[in-house]
Amino acid sequence: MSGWLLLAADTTTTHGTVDAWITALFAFLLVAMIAALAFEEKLHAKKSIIVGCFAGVCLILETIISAWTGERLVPFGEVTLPNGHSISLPVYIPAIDWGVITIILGASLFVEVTSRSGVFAWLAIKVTKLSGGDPWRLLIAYGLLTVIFSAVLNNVTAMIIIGSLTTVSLGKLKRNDLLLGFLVVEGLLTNVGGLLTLISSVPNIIVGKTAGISFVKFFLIAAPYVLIATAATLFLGKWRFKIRGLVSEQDREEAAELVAGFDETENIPSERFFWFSVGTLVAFIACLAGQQQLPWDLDKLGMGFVALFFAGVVLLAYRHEVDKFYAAMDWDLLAFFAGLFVVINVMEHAQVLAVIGRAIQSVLALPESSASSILLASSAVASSVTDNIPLAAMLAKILAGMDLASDSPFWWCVIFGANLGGNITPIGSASTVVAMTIIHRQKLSLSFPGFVMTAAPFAVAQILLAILYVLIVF
Amino acid sequence: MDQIDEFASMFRRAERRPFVHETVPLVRVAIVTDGDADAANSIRERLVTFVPRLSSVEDWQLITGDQFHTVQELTDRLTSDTPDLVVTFRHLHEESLIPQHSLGVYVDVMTQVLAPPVLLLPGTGRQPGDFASEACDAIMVVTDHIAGDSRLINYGVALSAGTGDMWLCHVEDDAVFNRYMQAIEKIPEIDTEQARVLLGRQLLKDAGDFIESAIAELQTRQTGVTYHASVVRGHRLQQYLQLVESHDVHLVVVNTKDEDQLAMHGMAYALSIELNDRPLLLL
Repeated sequence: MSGWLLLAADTTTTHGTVDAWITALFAFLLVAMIAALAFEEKLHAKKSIIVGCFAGVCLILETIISAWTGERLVPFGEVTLPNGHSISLPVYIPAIDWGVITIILGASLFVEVTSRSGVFAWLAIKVTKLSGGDPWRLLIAYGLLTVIFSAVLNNVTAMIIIGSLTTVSLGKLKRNDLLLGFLVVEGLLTNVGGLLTLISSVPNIIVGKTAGISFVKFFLIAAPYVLIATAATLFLGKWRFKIRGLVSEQDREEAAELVAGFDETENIPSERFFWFSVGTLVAFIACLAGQQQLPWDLDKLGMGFVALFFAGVVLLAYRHEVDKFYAAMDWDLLAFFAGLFVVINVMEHAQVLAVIGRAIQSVLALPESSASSILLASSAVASSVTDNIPLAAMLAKILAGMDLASDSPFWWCVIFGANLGGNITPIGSASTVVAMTIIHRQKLSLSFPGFVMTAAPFAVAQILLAILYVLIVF
Repeated sequence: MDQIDEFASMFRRAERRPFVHETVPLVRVAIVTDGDADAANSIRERLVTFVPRLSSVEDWQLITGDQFHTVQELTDRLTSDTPDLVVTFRHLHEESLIPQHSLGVYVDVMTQVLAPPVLLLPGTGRQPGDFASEACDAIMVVTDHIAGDSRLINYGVALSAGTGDMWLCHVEDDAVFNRYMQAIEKIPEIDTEQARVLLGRQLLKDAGDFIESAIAELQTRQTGVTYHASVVRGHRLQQYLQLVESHDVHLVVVNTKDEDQLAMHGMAYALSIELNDRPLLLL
């Protein structure tokens, strides 16, 4: 159906005129890729392979079509550098947003090394002990920690750390009856925490970078919402999963004694490296926050350089075994991004994004409150069934083509929608997939529809709060 | 999803089961012997010399050879009398004068059926051995059955004269370790050398941490005793026998109950057979 609409569409844009059938063909490939990503588990194929295949097919088709029509779709040839020099690059190299790739590469490497210092495990055990083993206080502690870890690390690592600790600590407290509720709430909070800073999640990086939102501005706008949504999620979780505080003094003493048995220093291999990691983590966040104010033109190096620089600094501590950290990197994710940028570049030149952009433009032409609400809700629904990264990359490119100001609410609608949509279904985000994996490993019964039913009130509340927040703030 | 396991392991490793000190009540003690009342009284006197704390026992129950004829009869009586400690010998109501390959049916059953610990004295029911030339001031607690069982150490402390030395020992079975390592050597996905080092270290770590916490706690409570830790890997029986001999241990405290079986725990049985020349406290 969408193909026929595309065939009828006028696809003359800044990139020149493209035959409607070419646009329809590539639109079909885009839909097929999104569908393939949604059924990633069924296909038994990693994201990078799926997107890489589509990127290859897109480039081959584009080249053959260009040869037939005699007009290049994606411009080939030399690339002129700012200093006037020209270099020859393969067509797929300039298509990749290397700024995004370097941020993800540097930040992942930095987190991988600093986590070896035991700093995150130390913090996690410390708050467990501070909670005194009281279930409600423990839920608050783990909830806040999930948000902080999601903001500083990434959603998946945050879920792995907190989810693992939850299974161990509730087992020790003999409260496995609360495990499902804890894991669901933590899974849902990863996507809320992922909104806190510009580098907390990939959609933030892509949309924030495209919109030109600074690290500090991003944090100042996102933080109040994260606070409200976290509190709402915790109270909803308390009510939904009947998580109560301990009443009797004896129960409180017993619980406190059990969690006191944890030793937070156990996973710290070296006190020196521990404090070195804490110091570099603080410096890393400070540099990201003040990156645009760096003196002597250092700001021009970009956030990707900051991330790579700090990764290099912490790697010095393990200089004789850096290969282990390189091996631990999520190369699937990085290759996925590279492939995705190639696909989107082809889609842009094939005018597919222009067609989708026009459909979105008709929504944005509505009164701003309605437009924001529809854009946010539809982004959330779309990212609940497929990967939010292609969605964010595509929408960011489309919105960039509309010359929106960096303080436009529409950027934030995409950011909120792409992040929170992950809470609607268990496949909506990588961290909810991890939560489901831990749930199943613990032999807890929660099916796909079961998760949707359980998470629905939380996701609806978070999305409604986000719509209200966008309408009030902008 | 390997990272889930990685972090779960880190948090499990951070779990501690610290030693919890508890005062063991020793108010009512039963002595079960083949001999008559005089023999039982003699044992009681020597026992008080050996364990000075028993001088404050309020109720001595002396069960002589003519007061029981079957295992059931004896265990029924001890169950109804509810002593805090049962003192007895190997081979009750048996003709064998040289204990060699067993403990006798009475001891076998008593250790598994009765709640209170059994203090097994040297010699047999017919011919008690010598055990109380001096107060018990060299005790060895074998914690290998369940590291984390504070009860075992608390009983060792309760029977101590309050002076001398106490060894808290744990031996990991080398044979079992090597068997697992042989299997690991055939699994290409596991780094053999890394597994050998990490597995070896982790096996000793739990017991080591527990014993360390016990010593730290006991040093503040029973200051006259010098505490020693011995956490090693090796041939378990040989290691324990060597420790007992080299330190001239007066009393060995060992756990005999095994949740998975009705019979006595393997290592406890082996030690009870081998160490027939000195008292054993069987929990």
